Amino acid sequence: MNKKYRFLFRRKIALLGFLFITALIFTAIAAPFLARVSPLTLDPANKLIPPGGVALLGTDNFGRDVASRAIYGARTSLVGGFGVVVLSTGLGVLTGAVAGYFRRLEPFLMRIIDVMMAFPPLLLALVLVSIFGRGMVNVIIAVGATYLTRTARVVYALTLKIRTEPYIEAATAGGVKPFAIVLRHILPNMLSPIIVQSTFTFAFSLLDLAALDFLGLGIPPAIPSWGNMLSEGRMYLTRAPWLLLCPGACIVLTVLSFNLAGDALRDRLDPQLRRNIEGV
Amino acid sequence: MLAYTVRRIFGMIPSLLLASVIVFSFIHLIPGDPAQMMLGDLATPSQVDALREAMGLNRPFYVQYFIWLSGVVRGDFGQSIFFNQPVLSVIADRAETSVLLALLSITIVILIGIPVGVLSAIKHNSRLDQAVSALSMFFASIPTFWLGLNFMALFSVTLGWFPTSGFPSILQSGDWSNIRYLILPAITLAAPNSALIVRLTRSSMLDVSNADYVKTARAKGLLDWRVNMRHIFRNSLVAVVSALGFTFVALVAGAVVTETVFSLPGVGRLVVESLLRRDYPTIQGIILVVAFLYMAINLLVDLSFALLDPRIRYS
Amino acid sequence: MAGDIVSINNLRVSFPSESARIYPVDGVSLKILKGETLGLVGESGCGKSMTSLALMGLLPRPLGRVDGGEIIFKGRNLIGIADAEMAKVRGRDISMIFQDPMTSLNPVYTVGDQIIEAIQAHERVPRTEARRVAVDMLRKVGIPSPEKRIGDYPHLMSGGMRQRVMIAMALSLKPELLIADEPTTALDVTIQAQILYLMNDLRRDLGMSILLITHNMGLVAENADRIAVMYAGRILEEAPTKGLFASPLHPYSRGLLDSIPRMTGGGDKLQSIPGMVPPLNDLPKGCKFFGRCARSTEPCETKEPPLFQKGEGHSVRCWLYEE
Repeated sequence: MNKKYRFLFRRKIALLGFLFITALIFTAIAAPFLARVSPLTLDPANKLIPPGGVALLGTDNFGRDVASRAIYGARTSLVGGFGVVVLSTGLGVLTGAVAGYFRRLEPFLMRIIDVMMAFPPLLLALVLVSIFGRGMVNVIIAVGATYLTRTARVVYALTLKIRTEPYIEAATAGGVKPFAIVLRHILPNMLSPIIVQSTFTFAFSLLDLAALDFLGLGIPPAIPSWGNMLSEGRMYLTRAPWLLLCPGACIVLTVLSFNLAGDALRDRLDPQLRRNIEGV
Repeated sequence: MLAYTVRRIFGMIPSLLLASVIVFSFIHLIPGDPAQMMLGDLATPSQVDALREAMGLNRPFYVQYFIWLSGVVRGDFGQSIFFNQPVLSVIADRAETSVLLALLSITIVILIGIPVGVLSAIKHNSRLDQAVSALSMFFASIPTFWLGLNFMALFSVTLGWFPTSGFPSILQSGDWSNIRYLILPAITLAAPNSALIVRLTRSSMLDVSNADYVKTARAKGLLDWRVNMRHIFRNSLVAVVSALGFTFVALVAGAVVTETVFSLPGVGRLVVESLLRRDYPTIQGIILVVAFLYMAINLLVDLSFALLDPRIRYS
Repeated sequence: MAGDIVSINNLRVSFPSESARIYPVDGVSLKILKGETLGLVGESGCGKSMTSLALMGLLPRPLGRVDGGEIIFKGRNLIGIADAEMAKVRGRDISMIFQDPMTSLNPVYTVGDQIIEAIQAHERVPRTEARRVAVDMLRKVGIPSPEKRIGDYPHLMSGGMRQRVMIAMALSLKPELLIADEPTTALDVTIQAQILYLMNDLRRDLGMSILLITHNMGLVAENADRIAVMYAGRILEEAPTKGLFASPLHPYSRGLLDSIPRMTGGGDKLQSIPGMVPPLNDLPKGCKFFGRCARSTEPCETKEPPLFQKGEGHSVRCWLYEE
């Protein structure tokens, strides 16, 4: 393989990632039209049917259609991941930019962020869910809160770097107010690293969301999600392996796609800014 | 060096205190009455009152905190509601499995992650490098529990190479062959973390290889392997070692899931069980221990920076 | 001064770019005589550093490569010899020092370790012996109490000190050629003079040759025996230093000399060369200086001039001097 070809190959793989994400979004929106039956329909007469028979991807222990549940699971995953990204990026950017620009608050804010890093994200999310109860919103808040610290650290480091740039000094000397400097000069200059970081956050948070479901401390079992499917299918590891293969493959492909997308976006970034991102 | 160490240890104290405040606050995040919630709906009012009294929940927040903190300093982390035993002894009972699992995993992570990352960087852009990049990206994208279930189905159930679940204590039986119960879980836990270390080692090697002093080393007439190991690898070690601190956090989170999948009697599973039982004193104790270990490991990492980089040693 | 140490013939270096390969060095021929200092001057990007890296066999891999020509060093062509053979030449026969002494030494080893490593890469001597040589070299380059400073890490030294260490390391095996790529650009003006004085001193002492690469005409005026002017990957003019400064022939050389500030001559306005260096993937078809040259004529646009001999050791690549 010569170099040029290899470069294209990388681009093609990344393109596949973007295509998969697009298809996934489409699936999530069009779930009611794509699913053969409702993901909640119980059919005890047809339980644990292998793929290919009545149902394309088989049925589970309650006779529910695996394909339908996986399709609706895409909805759950995307909503969950999106919620986590919005929450963690929104608050993380705020915290990081404030800590980086308003130096008086810095020691206090960064100390809290550093201490929060000492708690493994999954552990923290588990505790929060167990306190506030299972449910989509609670899960998003729990996982979003744990990813906030990562984004905050990235934004903090970038703010420190950008605030020493001559154009910021020029704006300060010109009498632009601090908040305007942060909003109009600093944040726009770190938009692309924030987007890259968010892509990675999306990928990692999907793994955590699935783990919460799997441990029985995620969203309620009635809502179809890939993590819940795995949690229930676990009992049928040998008897009905399709219960594990389908949702597992969905998670891997989705996370992989977001990681590939994040990688591709990062490669296009300014190498100076690239160094600060905590991705794969 | 000694002054630096002492300074760093004292620097940890505010962080530890802050961590303890955060951990302690958890219990007060519980909506309604924590005692009622912990005991469940079946408890009688007198039982709830007794627990509230025992935990000092009637007193102001800061008084409760200082009572709790003074206990923690003396090694008293409170009583587990479920086991009715001191929290620390409940954790100690489960520590063997988790410590062994963590040690095995980190060994795999270091033995696989660093050499593969180095090789991948030296053979930058080769087919090998491409394959390593693809594989490490793949393993970083797999949910730990799903990987564990697949390993279990393949290696334990189908091939019968390893036991499916559980872990009989080595300390009690003295039988080191029981370690076979931990091999599959350790590999499961190590897989995504090795992938991250591979990628990190590779990228920091590539970063360092652009440094001017690497050009100097080549200009001296050193052979490639010597330039790669003594100059490039040696200088990228700082980044790799600092990542091992983060790996600890990832291992703890992974252990929660892995121990559940393989039904191992470890601290990770204790977390899940305690959460489902609402045994919050136990949870508090575990989180505090984990946070303390994390800070201790970061201290070691920082001290090793001083060994690795003379610029830090002299400042 | 008898015979040449290195003769570069028709050297061509290529790199890939988006469309076609580009040639940062294209048909360069140079001779470096024993014991002399040859100054290689030109603006940044003219190919002077690439020429020196090709000479060292250190073109950035895997992108850069030598596409033609030869480099004859002591009767042997260095192009195409095995990597391990080239490694034996580097540091022992040909040494190099770089622009930025602050980043050119490895921060995690003492300066002594780094000099000893250079010695032991080429000579099978015990460490104590290598260390003795290292202390000697540090003394030679003017580092006070070398027995003590040999155990220092680079970050404890100033830029000037570090460049002295680099020189000590480069010369520890008494090479026949020292390549100095902008050796003083990153240093304070007062330190610059000291370092150049030191290099000249050691050149005479060791009987070696120096290839001094710089963009600074003032530097070569004082330190070089001969000068080659490079532009867009080609040598435009080559002459003894006195000859070049007395009568620069190529319009580009004149432009370079006119842009040096002078203490004498009063209030003349400082001249600059109009235009910019063209990108390597969009060079003029004929003379590469066409477009910036005030004296260009008809053949300049379409035909690249060869080197014309004008007097003793003075050659110029310009149609104005066609016989």
